[in-house]
Amino acid sequence: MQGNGYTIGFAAAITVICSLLLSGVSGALKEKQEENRVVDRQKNILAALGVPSPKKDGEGTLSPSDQLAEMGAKEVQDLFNQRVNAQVIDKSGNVVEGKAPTDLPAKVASGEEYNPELGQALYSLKSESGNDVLAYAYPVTGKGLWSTLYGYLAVKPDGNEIVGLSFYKHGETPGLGANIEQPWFRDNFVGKELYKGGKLVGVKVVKGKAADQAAPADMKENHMVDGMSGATITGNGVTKMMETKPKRYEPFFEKVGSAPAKAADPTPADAPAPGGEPAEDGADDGDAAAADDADIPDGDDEAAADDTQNPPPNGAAPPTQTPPAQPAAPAGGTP
Amino acid sequence: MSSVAKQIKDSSWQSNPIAYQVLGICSALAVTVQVENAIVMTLAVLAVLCGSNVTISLIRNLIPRKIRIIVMLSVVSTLVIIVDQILQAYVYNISKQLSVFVGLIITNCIILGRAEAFAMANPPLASFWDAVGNALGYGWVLIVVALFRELLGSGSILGAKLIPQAAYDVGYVDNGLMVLAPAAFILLGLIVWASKALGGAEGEE
Repeated sequence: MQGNGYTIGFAAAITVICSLLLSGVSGALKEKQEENRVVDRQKNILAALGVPSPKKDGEGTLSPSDQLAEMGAKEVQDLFNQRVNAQVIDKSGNVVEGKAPTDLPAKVASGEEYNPELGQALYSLKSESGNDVLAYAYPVTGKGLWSTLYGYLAVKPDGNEIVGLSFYKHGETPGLGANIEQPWFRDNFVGKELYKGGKLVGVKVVKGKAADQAAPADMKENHMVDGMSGATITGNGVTKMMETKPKRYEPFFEKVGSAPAKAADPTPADAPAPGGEPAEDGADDGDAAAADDADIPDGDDEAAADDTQNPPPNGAAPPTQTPPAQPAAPAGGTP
Repeated sequence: MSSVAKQIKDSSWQSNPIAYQVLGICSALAVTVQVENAIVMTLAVLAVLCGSNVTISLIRNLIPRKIRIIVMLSVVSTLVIIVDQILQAYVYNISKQLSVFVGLIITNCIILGRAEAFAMANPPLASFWDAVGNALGYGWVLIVVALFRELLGSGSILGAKLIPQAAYDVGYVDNGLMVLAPAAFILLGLIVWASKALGGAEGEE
């Protein structure tokens, strides 16, 4: 049996050897890993912007993400440099000349922190000829169940219509919340709108199908997407992200000329929405904080929405609870 | 060589780490949603387990008994971090998908279990084959579970759609339970049952 001196000596030796090994490996691979991260982010920006455009092959259509997945690092970088203009804009929405998002601290570049003094990242997609800007992408972050969600949101130059959404980093449950990075979820956002009657409402990730929600038809069509089962809280994080983060870029899109406020279609049926919508969101957030994916508050949500909005399609809700809604029946909401 | 073959068969079949020793269940639930993840996890565990078993075995006579568990943990975690770094550098996409689970290899009981139960008492070569056998025993269970979960839960294997669109059009629905952890429990139970019925996963009474 060895003495204490030997034990301490051995422990010290093991510690030194292990740490030398680790720092050696980490140092040797750092450059390669950093390059992977940069390329991965570029891929996500391109995917959000919908580049390269979907292509037909023998069996079906290859989405931008499918095509990007096939590309090597070099190809992605070339495509990125050719089509995307990485810029920094200041707090009043002017482009800061000679500054790139890579010059910003990581947390600011990723949109996790907002610092009006440093500005924020903006990526514009040039047309093939290089003369026009087809879309803009900017970094967005939200809080999921376990982690911060990092992604890019791409919008048309009006700042309103969504071109694409992608996520490049998160720690959500694989198979559940991690589905936010799957094309079937992200593609739901394409064509949705952030603004309604000049007001930022974002896009809500609902529980179940967007089409089944008790809400006016234009809300369902433009501001709601299908949820992911088993990932309600991640979905709520995305909802929150979509209704807050675009605000930061409003000064820029107002400068570009087509302010989202003006671009949004003014619908007369707007009136009840501001009353009904926040209440609904509030209820949802409470549910998120309270427990896991329990479905119970859903009923409340729907009932509340029914009261303020309109009767549900196909008489799915108990008719006794919504007497005032009856006369308003033709107002909308039929699928 | 036949003794090596027997050793591998013993540790991957008779005393299968998951089915018989019931170790490493946590990661078996976590990474079996897709076959690809299960394969990469198997390879990562294989690398770490071989590395740790051989290293521990080499220094087994030097390790002070009082601090042997801590020494094992340091060796294992160093190896795991190295594997993680290599995955991040060369197969970035997979490393992104496995994310936390690679780090969690450290807590995979199989590795510490084999170090303590085998490598501390046996020479490096035997420890190496023990590691291979156990990693394979872990791996095949993982991959079988993943095959069922991916096929029934997402209708595909290794990302390739196997269930034709026509089936969905007539009303076939992927089994949502298969994507969740409880499905892995059910499948693992069935595998333990099946392998016992076939003569594996039996202790020497």
